[in-house]
Amino acid sequence: MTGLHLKNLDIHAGKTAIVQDVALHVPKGQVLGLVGESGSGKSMTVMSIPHLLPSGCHITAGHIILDDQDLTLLTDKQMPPLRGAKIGVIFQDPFTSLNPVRRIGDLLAEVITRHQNLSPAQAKAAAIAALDEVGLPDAAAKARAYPHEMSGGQRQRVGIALALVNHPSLVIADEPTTALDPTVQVHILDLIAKRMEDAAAILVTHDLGAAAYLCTRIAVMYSGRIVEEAPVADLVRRPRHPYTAALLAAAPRLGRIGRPDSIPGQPPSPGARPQGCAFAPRCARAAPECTVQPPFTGTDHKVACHRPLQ
Amino acid sequence: MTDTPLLTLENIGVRYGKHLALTGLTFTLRAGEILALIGESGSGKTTAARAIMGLTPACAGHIRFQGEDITHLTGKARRRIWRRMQMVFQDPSASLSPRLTIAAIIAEPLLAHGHSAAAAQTKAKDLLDLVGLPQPLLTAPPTALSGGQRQRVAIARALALEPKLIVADEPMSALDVSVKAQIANLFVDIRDRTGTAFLIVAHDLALMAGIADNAVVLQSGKLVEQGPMTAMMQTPAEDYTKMLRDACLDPFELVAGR
Repeated sequence: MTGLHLKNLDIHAGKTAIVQDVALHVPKGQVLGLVGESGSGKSMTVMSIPHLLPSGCHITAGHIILDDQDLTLLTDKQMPPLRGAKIGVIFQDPFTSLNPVRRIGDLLAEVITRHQNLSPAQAKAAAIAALDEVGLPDAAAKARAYPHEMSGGQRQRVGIALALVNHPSLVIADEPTTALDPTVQVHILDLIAKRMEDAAAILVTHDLGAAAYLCTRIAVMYSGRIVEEAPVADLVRRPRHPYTAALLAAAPRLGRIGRPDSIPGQPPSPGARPQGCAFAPRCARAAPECTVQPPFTGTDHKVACHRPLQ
Repeated sequence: MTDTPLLTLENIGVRYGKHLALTGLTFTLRAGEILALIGESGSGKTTAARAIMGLTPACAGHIRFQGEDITHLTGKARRRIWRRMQMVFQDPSASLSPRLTIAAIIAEPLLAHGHSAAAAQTKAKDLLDLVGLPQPLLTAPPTALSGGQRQRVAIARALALEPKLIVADEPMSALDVSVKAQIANLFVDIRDRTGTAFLIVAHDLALMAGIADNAVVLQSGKLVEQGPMTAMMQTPAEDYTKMLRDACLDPFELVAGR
């Protein structure tokens, strides 16, 4: 049972369910795309894994198994040694997660020595090697730079070096390219693919294009639940949940000239979800049975919909 | 769309200290036109938008709006231009006061330009309809809104004085994909209903292809290519434009070989 298993995970903020009944499996060496809009619960789902939920939010049911270890059983004191070692997290904008008064090289060396038994000189050399491996030109000079002296793309390369330098078995990338130019996006996604080694990885994104580029499988979240999960090509060509189909129709296209299709309305707030399927009020296919929560069914291509597309 | 030039830039240059952020930028925007100003970070697209609004001084060239040279207008003269030329910013949570209600935010420019409180309230209701927001939101603070809803409020506020031109700086960059599409379509709807012209600064060629009439592509402060949006998307003349176009990760193209 290697890789990552999420089993029937529930997360609550107070009494409000933020994430409900999420089940996922990411084998070693694969990238799963977790796709959804702001507020869908995708970041909450992945941030619960390294115990980085915002205060007031708690896992209330389910299990998170990483390489046979149940992370939900760890205390908040047992978790920090795993972060940066067994679990690497790449954040949206590393500028907000990098200490502005520390040199890049010192920051990396600290992360290395915290988890590996190296002398300061060895750690410094390892830090420079790590910067070189993420494609930063003149890594020795870059090690002496401060975060503000770098472009957004360069900072994200540092973010990737920080997350992956200790060879984690799980990589979580939370919207790693959202703040970057489209031309830089592909380079960053390529770099994650190249540097993740045989880790299990989750790419959290609202961009189906980025997920299709990097991932093996995609899970689509809506209002706290996974509504569809399938191999990438299958999901894009034959989406079964009307929400997935609508998201695909809204994605920017190379060949399309003309206005994008947008989904009318917006998702319900977690405290005011309708009975049954949360997408039903925005769904053209909605029927009376949609007031009952649809089961999440299927083998390789799973969907939670009473009236799925064929 | 008419053929009257609404806005003309002639050889505009902008300098930050020793650094030339923009050189020799020349283009024309007609009444009712949606023009995309496209480029990567550091291309000078936001600088151009700020120079047009008079927020960053131009060091060379002329900017004409409805025939008048507005390049160096400041103070009262600039505020007179702002009645007809409004701006929408990238991050609507940073550009809307969290202490005001939505109604007050939309009414503010009307009150500042001498409308009565009653007239401003009525107008705010109409504007909320125009940008597709429900009336109960009038009494809510911006913190109660989603990112897309906030951007709709920012657009409503920009529309309050019935400007001829709205300059929008990356108005969709901070939004989710499906919400981007909603806001993109909203710009076209507003143009069709009110005749307002839009200059939209963007880095996403594929998204703008759906809504813009024409595009200007910038690289390192210089114009690379300009022309009709559709033609530029289908047959870009310059390698740089082609690179920007091909940076779009189209999920359907990506799975074509799988």
